[in-house]
Amino acid sequence: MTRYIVRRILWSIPVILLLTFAVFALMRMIPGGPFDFAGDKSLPKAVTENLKRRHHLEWPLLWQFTSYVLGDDVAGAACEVVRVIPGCDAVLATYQLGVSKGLIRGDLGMAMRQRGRTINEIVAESFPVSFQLGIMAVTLAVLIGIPLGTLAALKQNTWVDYTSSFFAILGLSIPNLVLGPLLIWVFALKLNWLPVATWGAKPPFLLGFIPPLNWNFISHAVLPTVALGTGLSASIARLTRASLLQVIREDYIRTARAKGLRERTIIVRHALKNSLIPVATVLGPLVAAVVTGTFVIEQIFGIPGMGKHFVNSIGNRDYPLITGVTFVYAVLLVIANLIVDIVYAWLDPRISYD
Amino acid sequence: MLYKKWAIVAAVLVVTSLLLTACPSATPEVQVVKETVVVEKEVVKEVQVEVTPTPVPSPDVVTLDTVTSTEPPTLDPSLATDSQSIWWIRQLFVGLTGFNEKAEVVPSLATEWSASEDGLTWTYKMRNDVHWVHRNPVTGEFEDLGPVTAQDVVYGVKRTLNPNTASDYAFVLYVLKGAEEFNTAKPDAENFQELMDNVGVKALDDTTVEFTLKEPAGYFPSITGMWVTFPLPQAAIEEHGDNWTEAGLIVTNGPYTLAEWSHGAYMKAVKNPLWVNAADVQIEVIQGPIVQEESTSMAMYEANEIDMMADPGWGPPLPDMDRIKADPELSKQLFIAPRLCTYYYGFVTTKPPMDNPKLRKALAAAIDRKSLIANLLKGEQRPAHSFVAPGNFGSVADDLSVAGWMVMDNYADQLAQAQAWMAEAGYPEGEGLNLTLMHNTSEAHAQIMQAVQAMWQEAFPKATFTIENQEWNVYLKTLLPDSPDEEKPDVYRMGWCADYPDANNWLNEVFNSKSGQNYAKYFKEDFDALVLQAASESDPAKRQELYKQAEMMLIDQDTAIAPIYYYTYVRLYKPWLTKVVISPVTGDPIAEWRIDWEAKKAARGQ
Repeated sequence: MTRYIVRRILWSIPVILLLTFAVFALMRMIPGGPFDFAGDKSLPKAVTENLKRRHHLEWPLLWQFTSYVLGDDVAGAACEVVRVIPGCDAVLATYQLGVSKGLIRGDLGMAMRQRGRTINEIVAESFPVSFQLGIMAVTLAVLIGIPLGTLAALKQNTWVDYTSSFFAILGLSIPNLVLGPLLIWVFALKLNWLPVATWGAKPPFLLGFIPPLNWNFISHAVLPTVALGTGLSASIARLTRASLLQVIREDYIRTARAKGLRERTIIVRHALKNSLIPVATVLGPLVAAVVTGTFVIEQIFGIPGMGKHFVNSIGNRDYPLITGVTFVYAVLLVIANLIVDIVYAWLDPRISYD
Repeated sequence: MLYKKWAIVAAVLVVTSLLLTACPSATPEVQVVKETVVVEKEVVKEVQVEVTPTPVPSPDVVTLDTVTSTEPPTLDPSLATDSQSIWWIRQLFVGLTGFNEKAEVVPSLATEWSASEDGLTWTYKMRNDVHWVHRNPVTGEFEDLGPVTAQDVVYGVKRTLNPNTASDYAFVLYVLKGAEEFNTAKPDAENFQELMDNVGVKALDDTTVEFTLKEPAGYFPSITGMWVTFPLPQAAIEEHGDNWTEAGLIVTNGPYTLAEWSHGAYMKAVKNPLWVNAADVQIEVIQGPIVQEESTSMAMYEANEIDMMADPGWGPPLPDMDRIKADPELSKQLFIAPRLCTYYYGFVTTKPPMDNPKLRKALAAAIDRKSLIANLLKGEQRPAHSFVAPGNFGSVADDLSVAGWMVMDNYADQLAQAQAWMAEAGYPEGEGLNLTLMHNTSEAHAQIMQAVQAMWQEAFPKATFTIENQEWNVYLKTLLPDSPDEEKPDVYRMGWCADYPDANNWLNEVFNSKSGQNYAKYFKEDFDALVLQAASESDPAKRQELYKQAEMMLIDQDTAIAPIYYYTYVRLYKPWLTKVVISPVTGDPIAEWRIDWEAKKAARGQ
């Protein structure tokens, strides 16, 4: 098992690197750069060049990426030693400006559209908030989705099944864009129970991400969690139901019944555990996606999370920011999938990795 | 029995979900001991990074609550370009001159200024009782760092121009002698220091600044009201580098100072008790979250969580406008003011068939601006027939002798005129005309363009009009004067807002032959000469007349663009605010506002 995990982690390094390069290169290939315009006004060439120089954008692409991964001092040192490598003139001219220490040393670079700020700072202040919301929403989704799906499967084709399916489809088909404002209108404006928007906690957090569990935090978190969680719970419920229906028709369930086991034991110990495999498969990437921020929910509820950076930084052509948040997402995705694989082995003893 | 069964299932699910999500957040009580240790650590750290502990605001501190619509990219006056940053900067810093409610230049740090005979040398006398302050982030006490001097102004101007600062707006200062040379120098140039010394700004003594221009500029006092010329605290900037604008480090000279800036989340400014007019400043705190969604902001306004729907936040959302106007309470809170911006359709004048001025005139005339505003925009905008928006010096918005044919009272007459011109241009009823219209991707721009397309189609039934759109950065790249004409549309939509309220910022800086904003590719020597002459003229009456001639040439005669409307600010203010709303190129002076605190508390149920 340990060997398997180590092998997986080693394999993920080239994958993440390749992905980072793809984002890095693709962003630079889109027409229009971060410093062409201020608002809707085009900037004089000299100004644009000043800004580009400051961010190494006049370097050849591969040198930019080298410095992004290894640090500009490494790129500079390499060029000092072997001056003939193509593109070294540009590197030697400006590598001392110090843009990035390199991914390898944990530096995601310098934001282009927010002066004087590093991507590390931006991620550090927005990721914990997205993480809190994401975890709460997924927890809510699981707490609603799995029982609802189980109930529907066990009472297949009864009113229980129909009712739970109805809610699941309702949850799936109402987009957050509608549900969010609807919740605000009912619970904040009409009933006046909860605040309209914003997040009730700010960094620094306990252990980096645990918010203070006071009323201010909870009251602000309820609506976005519900808005985000219900949609997710609907798909989990549908998945649990379908999977459980299949499992309870398996031979080993019939065997368990024939042995005279209690129905509760059969469902909980034998059926449900196995039926959760597809749910776990979906949940892994889902968690990674949700904890890195959901643009729409964060937008509607004015939550200072990371979701907006995935969208806004593209329009702004903030190359390091989009590369940085994608990198964080990719790392989480790899970790989530690894955990899912480990959980498989626990859910289904037939699966083993050695 | 059933209950027990489900209790177990639920328990299993909780555990499963926690394992799957690898998160301890739902079980904090398990880790009590560990957490206690960390709490102590965090508090120590908090003092080190100088983050202000936020006490719950006492209900009797007079506070203005507002949202900010997007994280301000910077609070550094040398670097700001967007209205959110500038709004906050205007609360924190003051420059030599300022603007009043009519967008006229008024004294601020400078008490008086004068130009030399030839208009090339401007001398500003400064007051000496405005001080730099720093707020201690732990105790909240203010530290007096001495008076703002002429040297600070010189430092600020040179810092903006320094190529290492890489300021977006440095070009505004190119009117200063030696400024362009310095700003475009390579940082490793041998004569770098010499170039810096040659910039035309000098401190004659502690309270006198002298600017030397490369050409006369009657609008120069407007420039000294812009944030890029503000005096800056050299010591703080050199000590903290790019981070000097963080709360706790920032040194300011205005009526407020920054107390808290949780990036992307929340901003708070508090009154500067050492400010010259501190006794007159009623509002002690300006604060609020960053909310990027306008309808959310509107909900907060209606729940009395914020006091206004205005800069630095959002205006009321367009879909809510009909409801706001019909509501007896909200309609009273509506505030509509002109804004120094113009929305226009440009014609790429070098690209056939758009090189035909008669065709351009016909298209410009066949837009029913009033109907567009009444039925689609609904923001009380004003139909436009000139480029320079009202409120700017040199605007001819009230003078219908310039292109009045675009905004006739009776649209039928205007349409007949348009059709006649179209026939004269060689395309009777639009026969043989095939035009591409382009806008940047946005629902609002798409709607306007579709409406214009429909109007043109109706006016010229035999022509074909195709609409395209591009993402903003790509769009601007397509329109750049250097980009190939084949890739350009025939008609493009664009807007312009004043950086400083003077026609020079419009006619000269947008449509001179060298301008990067001259997307219409309107290259005309007569026009260049005219706007240059207007810039150098120091007699206001003569300047006004020259700008009228320029508008006449650009709009009425050549019709390089078809102005559509002058923007308005539509805002909502709670009735307990007494406000002073000044020209939109600047931030409103909150220091001069008043809040009826009892009324606000009552509305919030406090």
